[in-house]
Amino acid sequence: MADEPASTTPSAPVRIDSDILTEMMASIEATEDLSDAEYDKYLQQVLGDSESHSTDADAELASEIMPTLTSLQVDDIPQLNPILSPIASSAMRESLENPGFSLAMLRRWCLSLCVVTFDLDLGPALEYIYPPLELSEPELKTICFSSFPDSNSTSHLGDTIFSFRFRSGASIAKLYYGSDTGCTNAIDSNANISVVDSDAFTYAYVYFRQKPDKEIRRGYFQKSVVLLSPHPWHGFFPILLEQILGPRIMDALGSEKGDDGERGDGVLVLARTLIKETCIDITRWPPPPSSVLSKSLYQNSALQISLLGRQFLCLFPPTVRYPQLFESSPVSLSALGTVHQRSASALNAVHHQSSDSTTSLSSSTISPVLACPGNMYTTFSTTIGLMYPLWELLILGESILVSAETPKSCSQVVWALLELVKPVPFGGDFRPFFTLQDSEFRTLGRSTSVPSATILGVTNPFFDKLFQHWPHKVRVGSLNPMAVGAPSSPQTGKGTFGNGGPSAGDASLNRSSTPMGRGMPIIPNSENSSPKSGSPRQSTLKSFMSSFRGSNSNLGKAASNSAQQLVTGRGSPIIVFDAVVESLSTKYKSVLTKDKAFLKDLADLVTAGASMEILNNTIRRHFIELTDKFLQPLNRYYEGLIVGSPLSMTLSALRAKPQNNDDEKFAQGLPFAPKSAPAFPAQSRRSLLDFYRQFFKSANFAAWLQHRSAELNREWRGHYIDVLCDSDVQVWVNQRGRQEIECVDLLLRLKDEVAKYSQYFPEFSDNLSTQQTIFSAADISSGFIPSDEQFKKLKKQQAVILNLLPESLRMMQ
Amino acid sequence: MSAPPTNESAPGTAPAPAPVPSAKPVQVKLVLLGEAAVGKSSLVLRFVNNEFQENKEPTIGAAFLTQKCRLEDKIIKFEIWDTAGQERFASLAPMYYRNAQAAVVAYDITKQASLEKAKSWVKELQRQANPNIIIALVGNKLDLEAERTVPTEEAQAYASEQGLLFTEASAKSGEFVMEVFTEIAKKIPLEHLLASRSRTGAGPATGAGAPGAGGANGRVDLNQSSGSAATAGGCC
Repeated sequence: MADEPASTTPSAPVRIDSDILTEMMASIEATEDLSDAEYDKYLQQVLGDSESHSTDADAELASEIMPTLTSLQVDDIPQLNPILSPIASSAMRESLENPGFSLAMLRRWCLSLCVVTFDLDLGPALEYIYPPLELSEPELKTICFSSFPDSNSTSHLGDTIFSFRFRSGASIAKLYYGSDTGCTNAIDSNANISVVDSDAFTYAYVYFRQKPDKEIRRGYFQKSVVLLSPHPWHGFFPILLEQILGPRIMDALGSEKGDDGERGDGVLVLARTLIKETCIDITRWPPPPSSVLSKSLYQNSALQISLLGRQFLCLFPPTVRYPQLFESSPVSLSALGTVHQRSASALNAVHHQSSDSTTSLSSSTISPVLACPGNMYTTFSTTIGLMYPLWELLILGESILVSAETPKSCSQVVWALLELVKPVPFGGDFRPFFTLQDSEFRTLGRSTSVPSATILGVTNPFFDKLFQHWPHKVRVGSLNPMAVGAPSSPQTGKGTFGNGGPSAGDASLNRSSTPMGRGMPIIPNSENSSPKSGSPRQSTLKSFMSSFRGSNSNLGKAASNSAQQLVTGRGSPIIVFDAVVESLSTKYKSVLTKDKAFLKDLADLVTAGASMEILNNTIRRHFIELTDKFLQPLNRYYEGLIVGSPLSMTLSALRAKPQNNDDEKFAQGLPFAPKSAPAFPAQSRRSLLDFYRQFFKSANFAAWLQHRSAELNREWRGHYIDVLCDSDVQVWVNQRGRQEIECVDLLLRLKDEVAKYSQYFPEFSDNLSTQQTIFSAADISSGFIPSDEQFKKLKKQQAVILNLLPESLRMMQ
Repeated sequence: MSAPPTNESAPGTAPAPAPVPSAKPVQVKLVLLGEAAVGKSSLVLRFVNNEFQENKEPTIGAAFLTQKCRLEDKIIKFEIWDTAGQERFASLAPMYYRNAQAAVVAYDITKQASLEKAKSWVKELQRQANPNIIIALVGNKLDLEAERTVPTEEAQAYASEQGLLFTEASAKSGEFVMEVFTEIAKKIPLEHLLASRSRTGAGPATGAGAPGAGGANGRVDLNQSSGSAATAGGCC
């Protein structure tokens, strides 16, 4: 299959006459006094936005990329994908011959693993990708550039982890929401993997290593390992990268010498083997937990997975709006008691393949990995009071610019902000790490307008100037600024960063909308008279420290202490969440006041030396409660529109969908929903009704409504299947007055369901389970997939009723 | 690691140890361009921190640094954008040199090709940057005299022809690094920058330069200025 020469042989690189480009540029004549509109136009042209120039720009990029890769090519190896080196395509063939490998199974979890290198002549370049993936030029460009820091590279010595997000191109979208032409690379006919709760975006989780290596030209090793996935699991994938994938692959990359004797040149056999093994391990994982497989919409599912010989116990939220809490102490797997039954059978199913390293975790106690953790405490440890205005801004889906020193801290904070408002799902766009080179810079990077409902995480000081018109700006610092991803140097004396307590936020909440902090190229720093003020980092640190100097340091101390515990308390370091929100600059006037009682309780907990998990959970629960209270009137109103209850469903009154679930009607009726202000655990300064009105207009409201309806549908459908499976059909049929037509109707319903799902239970032999299955997009969107057991029951019920029907009617079936 | 600093500043200027109380610093945006590995970051590091790292990591993206200098009675604050030299970053260079009052275009005196690249940057700046931008051509790695392949005369001649400031320097030894920035500072129309800034009262985004265009509307006529590319550098 893979041997087929692809029809997508790259066309000869187009050489752009540089004079044409320069003429074009000259005609724009960059000047000082361009108005904003002119500047936007200028940007568009520079970035190749306008129709006429985009092809040039793309061709230019292609011509930049082609030479490196084509120069590697060996003639007799067919090209699967223009961006791939032949090494990758041959690796692909190898593994396809391995019967255990299914591309579709892998892609339920992740798309591909990449190695991106910093080419000394070209810049960021994709060196290896496995399995091959058809990527458009803009995607390729975004992946390459976003996998490295955007600026000030000196601050990134060591290993670091961050994530970014980009709009999926056509071929990725096709993989997940596919059409029948589906898989254009003809690698696996089993395309169209459906992923629940995924959006039109791809998530990239990056492990970046920069370290001196004398054997490399210019003496530096600079590479990133990137995992691409449709899932927004910002806790899960980074842990895998941090604990095993990143170091293992990087060590392999850094130890092998290429043909020219240079280290770190190319992706050689050791690293390729590791990446391949990783992919094979992932194909053996149970299906990613999702709401369609979950018995309950309101409960984590636990999965035990194995990767390169390491075992992980992971907790996944049922939907993206579900907030996860930390387990405050290590638990044993059996104590959790909710390990998905499918996963258990899945592990059995693959046991013969990987019996060597699969040791049961049920007896040991470990801390489960949260897929979507909310590291609220660290994030706000010095600015606790800012959580309230930020919560409001996030509920309203306002656009927020998050600027930080490092990709790690900006992506951590962007994720933390999204977690802060759950169970309201953020309905807008968010980019945990956004660079100047992002292919969507031209749409998001306008200097005049602010994209609606967008959270951008940036590190390049250039953005501070370009985006100075953004209404809400968050400045991020680090508790542990010098040791980026270097867990060997936990901070001890930095507790003084901490600020005194609950009321600290006020000082930092700058209503005058003045950009704050340092690293701002344009703001004269009058008190900074040192001639050595060059490094933005230094001045940051200074202003950060001075702004909190003299205040009670408990909160920050606990944060750094706990971070230290996390580092040292285990065999290997875990990701240190050390990004802290330093300030918020906004003109927004808060509606709610801080809950002083809560902040006092929190301070008491800190003083008492509570663990990081407890502190995080305490904050989290407080804001979940706040969000729930906020949603209460809406939920009440929403539920009032639904006729009947799925709980009262019987065989005589079957309904697969709720009646009158009319979102439009709901939206219309809503402005009147909160007739009286709900009792918030915080006091409001102004009328909450205005706050609600603003919310109704936001992208978050739309997203919430969509989630709510989907959940309702799933619930009804779940009850529907339950009733079909578990009712005593015989008794029902024999009830007095039962009409034949009713029986036929029931039979047809059962037949429908069996037909619909039989593809997932192919032979229905007992050792095959849904874990081997890829669900279709249609069934995913209907919101429910029966379990093995339920499917068996449906078939049984079908047989039962068929037997009870009169001969004549049976014939009709 | 660090070579002994030879911090011989040109007369009249020195890194400001303490600002003159009344003077507001004049902000000067400066961009560093040039082929990869010619020593752009090392030149900045020498200028800003007066240090040298034998193995400086290749710059990814761009680095931003600032340094204040005193020139006679004025304080100048250089805002330096140190760009990555790799080809793929070139397309975004206009973002960085837009509004810059000065550019340092560096090459490596041991690599002829890097001078050619420098020339193409100069050409681009002359065509597209602020028409009054001060461009300094700097041949770095003067400490590697033995491996020199670019004769001083050749680069000097090119610089004079194009109206550029020119020097050879060594980030490693520190020789002539200060001078690069000092000479740039001298050529910047500081008075004008100060005046335009106080007139508009706005930030640096609108404040800089364009003295020739001056006047009431402050706009540059796009058609008029496109032809006069080669005269950049010697403004006022």
